[in-house]
Amino acid sequence: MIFKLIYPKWKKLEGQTTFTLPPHGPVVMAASLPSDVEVSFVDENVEEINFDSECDFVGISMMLSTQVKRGWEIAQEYRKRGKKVIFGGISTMLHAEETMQYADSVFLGESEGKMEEVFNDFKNNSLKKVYNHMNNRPPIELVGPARRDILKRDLYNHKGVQMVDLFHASRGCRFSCYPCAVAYLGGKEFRPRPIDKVLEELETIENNRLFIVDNSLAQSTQWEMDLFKSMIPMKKKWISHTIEDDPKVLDLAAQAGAWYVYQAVFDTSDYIKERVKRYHDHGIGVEGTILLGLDNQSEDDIKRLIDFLLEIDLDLAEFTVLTPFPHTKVYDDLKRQNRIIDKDWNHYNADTVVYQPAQMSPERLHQLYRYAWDTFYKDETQEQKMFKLFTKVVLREMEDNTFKPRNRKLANKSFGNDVVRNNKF
Amino acid sequence: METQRNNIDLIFDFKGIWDLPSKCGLKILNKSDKTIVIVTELYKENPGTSIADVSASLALQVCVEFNIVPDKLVYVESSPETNSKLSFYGEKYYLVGFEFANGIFSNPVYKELAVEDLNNLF
Repeated sequence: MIFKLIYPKWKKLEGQTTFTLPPHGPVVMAASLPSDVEVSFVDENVEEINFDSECDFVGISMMLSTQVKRGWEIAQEYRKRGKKVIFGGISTMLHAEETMQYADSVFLGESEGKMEEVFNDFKNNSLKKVYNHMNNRPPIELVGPARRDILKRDLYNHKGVQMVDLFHASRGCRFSCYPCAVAYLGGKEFRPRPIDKVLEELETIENNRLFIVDNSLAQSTQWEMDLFKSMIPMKKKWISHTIEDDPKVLDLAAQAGAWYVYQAVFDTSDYIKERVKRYHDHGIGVEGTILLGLDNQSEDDIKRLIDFLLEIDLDLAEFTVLTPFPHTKVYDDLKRQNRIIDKDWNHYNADTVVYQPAQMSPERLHQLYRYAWDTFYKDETQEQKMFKLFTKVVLREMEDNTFKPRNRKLANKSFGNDVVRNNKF
Repeated sequence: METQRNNIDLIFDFKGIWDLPSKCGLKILNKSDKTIVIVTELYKENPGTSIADVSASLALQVCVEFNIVPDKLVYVESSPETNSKLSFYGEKYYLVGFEFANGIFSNPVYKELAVEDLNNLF
């Protein structure tokens, strides 16, 4: 039986360097499929969908709000051809009621241990409209190695350089941050995977460079330290979100191969400045993630914040505008205040202003967003800064003999396309 | 994000979106011509979905559980200070109006209440 699993494309942010990473949700979900199911995976961000290729059942996996409308279009194409379509993934959970209108079935929750039922129902022509496992999460021990074998590796390669592999060591989040939906999606309880399971999965990943996609690793000091300790012999190099700001933890992270981290920068405090310095002191790079348009930010505050970012020597910065994703506190607040001005999910890409900011017009906030990108990368482009970070990881790999040269056969290819010659990285 | 305990007399268990077991704070004031219900977000203490995710359904769940006549319901949502680094609101109150037909509430409309407006309701 052929299960066609599709990851819809979305419009990339204007003016930003885009590296297409192999997706994580589909490979995790594929690992929970019954053994008699053959997966045919298509990531529409790197290849076209052939709607007429042979398949029995279609799955659409969605991560972003900006994927959902395209996902619905894809479903319509397949249903016109008489195929049954099931949706899953985190943005299916965020947009479930709307998605049901375009689906034969939607799956809500985590897939481990739940797919036998879905596929049996499909075979018996008794697919349910909703598989609601939002409150029925599997034991975290059940999460096994993802099925990265379904990916077409050469399509996630830029001029011979393989993109990082995505990987997760935990689920759930105990922080419930203002703009974030992770607590709704994965629960408000931090669920770390057992270290031996994490190592088992890491052993299956040939790629030496990883992106640990966990929302925050800084949720259990002992587990975090145990994780890093156990990773040291593997000599992987990795990117992650926040690491706990503790010298012992940072030291172990550095030994375990921390390459750079994403760190939210929300003010111009000495705390942030010192925190970035502590990462750097441990040889860990920092990509600042900066949210613009919060209710306490005036135009002057935003300009001051950007000046501050240049002072604290961030390696990279990623600017986004506040976006009220469903099931977040920011959504609840703005909905109650009648400040959401745009409900087109294609615009929920974090560079479009879809709400009325408190201290300026939407247009002015968007101008300041552009100003932030332009100002931060005025003297050194994003590509140049990325290249510096890339050089650092290559040097570290050469030191510990893990460096693998680029694949010369793909030197003239970028994500499946012929290379654009003015691209320096 | 610990919740302030203003206007909470009891913790109410409700069905959130997709039947997620959820909790909110509740205060009910019976007046001669109306029943004022103040429903409070509990944030971290709520394992399920927010009260705003299911305003209409929650209003009905409260009416059924406490025998409140829907026509007499004055429904107020309270969104307390969260002390989060990225949230900049103090405690807020919203009067929520609904349409009521065929035994269900729908189409919530929110109106922010100043503290004095809330006190006037009492």
